[in-house]
Amino acid sequence: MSQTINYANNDGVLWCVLTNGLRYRVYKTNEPVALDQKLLFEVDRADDSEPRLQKAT
Amino acid sequence: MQATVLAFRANVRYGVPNTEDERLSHAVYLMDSEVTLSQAAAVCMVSERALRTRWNKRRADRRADEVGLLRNEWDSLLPVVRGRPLMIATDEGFRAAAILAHRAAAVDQRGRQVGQRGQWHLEPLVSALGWDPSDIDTVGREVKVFDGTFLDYALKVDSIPRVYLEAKGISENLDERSLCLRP
Repeated sequence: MSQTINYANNDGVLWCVLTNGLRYRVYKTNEPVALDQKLLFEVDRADDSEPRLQKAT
Repeated sequence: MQATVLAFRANVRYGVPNTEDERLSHAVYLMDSEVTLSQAAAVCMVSERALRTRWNKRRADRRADEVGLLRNEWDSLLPVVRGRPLMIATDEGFRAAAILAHRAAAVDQRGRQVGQRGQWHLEPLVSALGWDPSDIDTVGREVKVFDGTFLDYALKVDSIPRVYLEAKGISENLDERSLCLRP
């Protein structure tokens, strides 16, 4: 996770999506915050609760 | 009363309903004829909740048919998974998401990984997001970054990468900080 974001940030690519096919995480790579706080939101298709976007904390 | 007349027609068409499943089918038939949900539930003696569930499934199946999804693709999805593509307003996005979910399920069953060998099934998503996977000026694959490692996709605007998309194995935990790219 951290490497993917770092590569994007290093290349000046603002957005980074990481997925395992079930979970999709969208990061904004240039935010001046700690790495784990760059998560903008996550969509989890395996979650059987009500559909929603999980906002980053 | 309109609902009663339509219920009679439904009985003629499908037989007098005995099981709850048959009564639900009748109730859906009534709703197709613009009877309200509460009326249809009352006439057919089914709960409104059960009827709402059946009606939503009927509408979802109909939408899947309308956008040209194959029935085996759509039926392969768990009900909870179907709900998500249905939230997509555009038919193109809905169809792409449903196909993606179907392929993800098939890959999952075969124990294959999304990453490395299976990026192909992310392409409907790439397409739904507005990038043309067949255009190398728009979508780059196996993109080499500064230290020689490769990323699965670079989505470009005016030939400049704007989004990096990295696919991991379906069983991999995205929380793992140790997840690394292929050297």
